[in-house]
Amino acid sequence: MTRHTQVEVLLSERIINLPFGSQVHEEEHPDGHGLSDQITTDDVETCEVALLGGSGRKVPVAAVDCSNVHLGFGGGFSYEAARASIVTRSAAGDTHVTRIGPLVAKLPTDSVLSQGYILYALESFAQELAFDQVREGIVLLDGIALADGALHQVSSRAKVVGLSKTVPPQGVHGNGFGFPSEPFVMTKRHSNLCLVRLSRGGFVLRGRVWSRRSTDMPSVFSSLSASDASDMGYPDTLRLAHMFSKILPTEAISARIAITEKHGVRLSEPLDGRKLLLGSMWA
Amino acid sequence: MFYLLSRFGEDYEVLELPAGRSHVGDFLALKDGNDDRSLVLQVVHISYLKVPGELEEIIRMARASNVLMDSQSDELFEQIREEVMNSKVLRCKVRGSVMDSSFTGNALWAPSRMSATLVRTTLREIRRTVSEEQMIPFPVGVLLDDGSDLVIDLADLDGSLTLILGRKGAGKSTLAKSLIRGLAENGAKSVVLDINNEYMPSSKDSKFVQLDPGRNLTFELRLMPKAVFLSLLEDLMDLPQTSMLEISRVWDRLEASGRLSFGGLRKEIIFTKMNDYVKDALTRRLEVIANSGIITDSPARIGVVSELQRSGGRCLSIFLRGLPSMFKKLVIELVMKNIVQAMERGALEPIFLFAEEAHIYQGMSFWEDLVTRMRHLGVSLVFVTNEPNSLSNFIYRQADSTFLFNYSNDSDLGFLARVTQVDSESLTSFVRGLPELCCLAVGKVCSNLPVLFRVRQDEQFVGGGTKLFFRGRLAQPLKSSMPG
Repeated sequence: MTRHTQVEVLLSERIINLPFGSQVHEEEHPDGHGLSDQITTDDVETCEVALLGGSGRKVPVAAVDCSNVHLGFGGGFSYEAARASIVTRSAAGDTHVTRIGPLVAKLPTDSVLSQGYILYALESFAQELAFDQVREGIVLLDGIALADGALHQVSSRAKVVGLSKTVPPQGVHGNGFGFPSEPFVMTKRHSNLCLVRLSRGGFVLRGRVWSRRSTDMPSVFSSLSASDASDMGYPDTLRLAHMFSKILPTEAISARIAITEKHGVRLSEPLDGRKLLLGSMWA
Repeated sequence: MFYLLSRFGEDYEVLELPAGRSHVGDFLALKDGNDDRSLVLQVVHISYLKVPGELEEIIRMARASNVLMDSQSDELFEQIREEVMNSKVLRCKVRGSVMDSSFTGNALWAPSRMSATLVRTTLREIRRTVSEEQMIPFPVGVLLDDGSDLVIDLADLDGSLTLILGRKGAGKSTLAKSLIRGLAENGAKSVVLDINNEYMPSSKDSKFVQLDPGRNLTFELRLMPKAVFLSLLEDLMDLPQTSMLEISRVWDRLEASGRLSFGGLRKEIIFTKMNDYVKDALTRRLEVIANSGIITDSPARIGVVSELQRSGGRCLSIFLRGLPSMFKKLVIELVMKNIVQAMERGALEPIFLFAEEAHIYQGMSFWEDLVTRMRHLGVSLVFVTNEPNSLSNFIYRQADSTFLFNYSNDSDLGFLARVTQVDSESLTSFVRGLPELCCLAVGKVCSNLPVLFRVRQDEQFVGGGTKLFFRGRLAQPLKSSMPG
């Protein structure tokens, strides 16, 4: 289904002009198709396992994350805030953070544009920015549910790595299901999905690699291990990107006040149906 | 801007958004809608507003300090976020209310939460609504809230019991000296029991007289009441009862024959038939007293009472430093006896007595007795001490005004919270963080409003400052111990 809807982006003056600033095509945004071939722990014995050596090439890394929060309703519109952050780490180890937002989307309440629409738009914008910043390195994304098509316009030669925070079962002491205890990557033939352990003792993560050119996953992850610190197997840049993009309650309060002061709209908090129906204890 | 958050008991919580420069001790007027009445609140505690996600925000700020940050966000949003994070909750106590433009200590009503407005006010503005007129205005210091002069009425010290408390070096003596100078300049008479010999004016001023026991402060034995002399021997010099009986008989005989003198006492003891041990005990004690030079056969060089009878303001500082404790006690006893007798005869106008570390030279019963009788006698008492529990609960209960300098010790603060006129939360909050020379005044002297001020330093007095070794050394170039 496609129709045109007016979407206004607030608190964005002199920051960015998002592509959906005037009119957007309403369509369902990607929600993770192409994941039917995910690796599960049942596949362990049929996959190729490669240990990650300590000789990965140091390359620049950029991590992108985005978060959103529903601010409330006012004047027949729904208001949703989103913020993106791009954390780049040079091969020399210098870290730079770019934060964009929070931007607030003013959406008609009768629109099928769901919560998260601005998140998707902003995330796409931030990813492009990251590709520009790291042309030869690795771009890290939060999650693996990105459509392959979403990256087809990327002219960058960067390798794109998606890592999911939804970790697969780790087994006893993180060493069950036949996973090696050393850093490794486990791939399935003809698939860009994998299971990966980036550091010794770290969690096994679900991963995905996109690249314009064919690439071998072990060298990408070896390079990532060498270029970015990790805590419990999760890359530090991605952790920082999440930290700096998250819209905290203080900021949601501030955004509501700013909307009221700038646009004269007093926002009422969204109703929490679960809380109303079940009570705060069981919601 | 201030917003009323909540009320519980006599406490109000006020949100200050955006956070201003509120300090503990500041006053706020809580106006009740359109009514001509307002509550007077005083800030006793300042905390940050608890906002959800504050911990995460602080952790994020800590991480941000280690990286290069480029934040592209709306200016107004950033300004509001900063204001929300910095907003403060002021915990306030009700100090009274202003109704029909007149201040009263009562506040038996609560304002409307919806229509109440909060504005900053100052002690000066509140005091304009206090109907009392000041008889002897005296600028004692500078208010910490707005930097204006704190003008007290010296008449509020008259007939009153005042306490000046604080740990050493906090500024107690500075305040006492300022008050003494103010009193002297306004024609009042003061006596200072000066244990550090520090109440000395820097330049000669006839209003200030130093009395040094044994030098220019002596007492003629002939004029001394027998009871005082015997109590010196018994209480201070532990003279046994048998010897007390003998000396009492000797005293009576000499007094009756008009031969009462040191020489007469010595001769009488030597030539009277009595036990040798008694003779020895009496002779040795008389020697000690005679050697002190405090009690003599000669007429007193300066009479305490006659000095106080002179016209105009006057301050007698009785130097007690270096005196053995029994002579300190003796001197105080004799001075006070003379003063009290003269007052009872109506020969002396009311005086102000400043007693520094009073517990050192007299027992509490002596002071409690004086406090009980002070109004009838015409003695206005000012106790100055760094040991708050050296004064009895009775004295604290009778105090009309208290000046509290810095205390940081929990047990001192706990004790003071139990005995002074100010609630424990205010006291702890105000007093613990007071810098040098700043103090909290409570009671009559400041219209029963707790007030924080910086004491005005009096240039007229020289002694009493803390002597420091290193500060003096740093003024001179230090010889380097490094070779070469």
